Amino acid sequence: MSGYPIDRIAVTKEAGASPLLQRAIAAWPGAEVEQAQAAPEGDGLAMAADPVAQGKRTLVLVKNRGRFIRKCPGTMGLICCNYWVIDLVEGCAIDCSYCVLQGYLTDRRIRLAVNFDDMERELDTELAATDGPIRLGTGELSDSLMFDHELGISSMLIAMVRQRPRVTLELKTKTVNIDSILDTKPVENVVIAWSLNAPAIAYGEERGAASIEQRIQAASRAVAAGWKVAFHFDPLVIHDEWEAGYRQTAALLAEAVDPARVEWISLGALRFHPSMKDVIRRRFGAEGILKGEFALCPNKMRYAKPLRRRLFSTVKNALQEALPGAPLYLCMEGAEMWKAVFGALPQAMPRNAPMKRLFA
Amino acid sequence: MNLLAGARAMEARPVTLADIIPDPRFHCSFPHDISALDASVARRGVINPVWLIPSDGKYDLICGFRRYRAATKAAQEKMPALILEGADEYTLLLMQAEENSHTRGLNLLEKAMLIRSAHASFGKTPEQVIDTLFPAIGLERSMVMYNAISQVAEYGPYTQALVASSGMGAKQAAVLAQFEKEERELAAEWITDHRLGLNQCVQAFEALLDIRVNQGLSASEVMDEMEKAAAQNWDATRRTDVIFNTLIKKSKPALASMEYDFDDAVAALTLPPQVRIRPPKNFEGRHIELTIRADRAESMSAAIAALGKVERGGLEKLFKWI
Ligand code: SF4
Repeated sequence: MSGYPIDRIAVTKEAGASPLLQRAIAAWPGAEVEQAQAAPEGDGLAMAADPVAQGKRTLVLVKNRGRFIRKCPGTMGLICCNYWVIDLVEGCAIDCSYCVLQGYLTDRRIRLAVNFDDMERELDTELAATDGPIRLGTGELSDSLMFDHELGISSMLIAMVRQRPRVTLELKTKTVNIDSILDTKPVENVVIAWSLNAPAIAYGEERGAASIEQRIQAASRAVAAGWKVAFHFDPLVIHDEWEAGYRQTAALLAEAVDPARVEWISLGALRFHPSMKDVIRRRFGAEGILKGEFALCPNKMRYAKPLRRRLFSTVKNALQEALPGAPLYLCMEGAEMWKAVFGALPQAMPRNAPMKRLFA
Repeated sequence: MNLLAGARAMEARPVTLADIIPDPRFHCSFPHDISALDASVARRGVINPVWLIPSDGKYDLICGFRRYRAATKAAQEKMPALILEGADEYTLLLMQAEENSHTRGLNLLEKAMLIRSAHASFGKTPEQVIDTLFPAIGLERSMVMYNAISQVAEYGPYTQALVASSGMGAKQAAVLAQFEKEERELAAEWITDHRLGLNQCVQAFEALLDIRVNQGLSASEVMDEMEKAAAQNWDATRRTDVIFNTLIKKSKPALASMEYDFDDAVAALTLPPQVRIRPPKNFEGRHIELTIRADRAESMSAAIAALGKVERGGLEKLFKWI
């Protein structure tokens, strides 16, 4: 079991017949089970001193009436890595100080959509309308594997993409909950990805996540079992002795994982909507993740450009030294940053450049 | 909810000011400018009756503190009042809060004072305050909001005055909670002296906080340094502009240093005065902006001719920053 506590399970009438409800009840036998309204009902957490933390203890099972799959819209002026997002779960049991969900969702509970059939149909529609490959992930508004030992969502997703080779499914996590995945035969178009960081950031800013050593060990087990893996150094954070911290993580990764088995490594610098500042200060203090020189660009706070340039170059160099040949790319950055860090835009890179296929 | 259920209101009638006792439990007014009200009351007397409750042969003032103050200042003998009987006192607090909220709007400090009063004078729990007072003053039900607003009532006088006079909302005032009381007061006094507008005021607090977090300097150290950046004999507006801009630059040293370097590179081009070259905001983006400001065709034509002579190498230098 993952150990993430759930005190309350709310279920809408339409979701009541889902096997996921029985699994949830079995996984959290002490949780109160109640009926939820079908329409958005608000999270009822107004009186909580910390509604964000409180919301993480309620699981809501619903039928998703909207879209499941959407292309990541990207941001104007930034280079897009052609990612698709599955909105299957909204909300997360982990509590990262920089998490966008703290300010983004009005319902702070964890909402899981149970109508997988609809999602599958939607995926087929998207595939029919698209020629190229689709790189798809569930880790946008949640952690893909946080409840995998309890609910086994990954196996349902893996079954969905197994028959659809044009889709690459990425399961992105900060946990080590891969036991049920490792119980099955590796699937060519599934990648298990870990978000990594400097150990101090993982320790201080990612409450409830596995340590960096544990994540890397899990990745090593996945590779040994024949699964494809990827890593996201995101968000890169400037903190005391950050260069050493990121080098340490790169070195740990290199010890445990053969770079030839790494599908991709993304680098993204800390960014947040300006309105998040207050939430972060209130929940985590002003001296942690918010330390640093930020500038508004264009609608998010990011480290000032020269700092970001140094951050990316340092981490890129550390990773290239430790894991030669592993495909690296920048997340949510513009052309000038690509040129400064990699010397070229992904499209202009030699055909055999490792990250090339992601930007085709 | 009918707040006045159970209360009996008599006809409005004139009451002698000497018989009215402002009840501090109901006092929340923190106006930043009541000169218009003062002038109106001095000219025509109080028009809308204040709300009173009988108390030992006199009356406690429930609603109308600003009118009472203006009438006292204008040395008026009487003012019109409604005498309320039979309503419980917490209901009266809610009533006056709602009345003020609808008629003139409450500033953040006034909301904070009402919360404190509901809590300290009427023994209400935070949950009860949120359920009863918050809807009366147009606040969403939220414990986070309760905690954020109620702390404003604990701030020192300079900070409170600044919150009220600048019109800060709860979100804008959140940065104030990051300062120790003494430091916050010093900063508020300094910002008040420099008459910064609302946005600048919030930006100044943000900058002081960033400098403390990133550079380890206290607000007083920074303020001393900023004061030295502007000559004492400059006029107040110029001093404030220079001080504010220096403060913002100090809080963003990497960007400021890029700006200095960029400006130096532009200066080295020896452009005519009509031409201005600016980097993209915060050096993000790919375009440098060049403007020619001219009021006559000859002036523009001279600027264009001068631009044609600028060395390409000098221009290329500018692009290395973006
Ligand atoms: S793991 Fe991701 S979704 Fe979960 S709290 Fe952290 S940043 Fe948010």
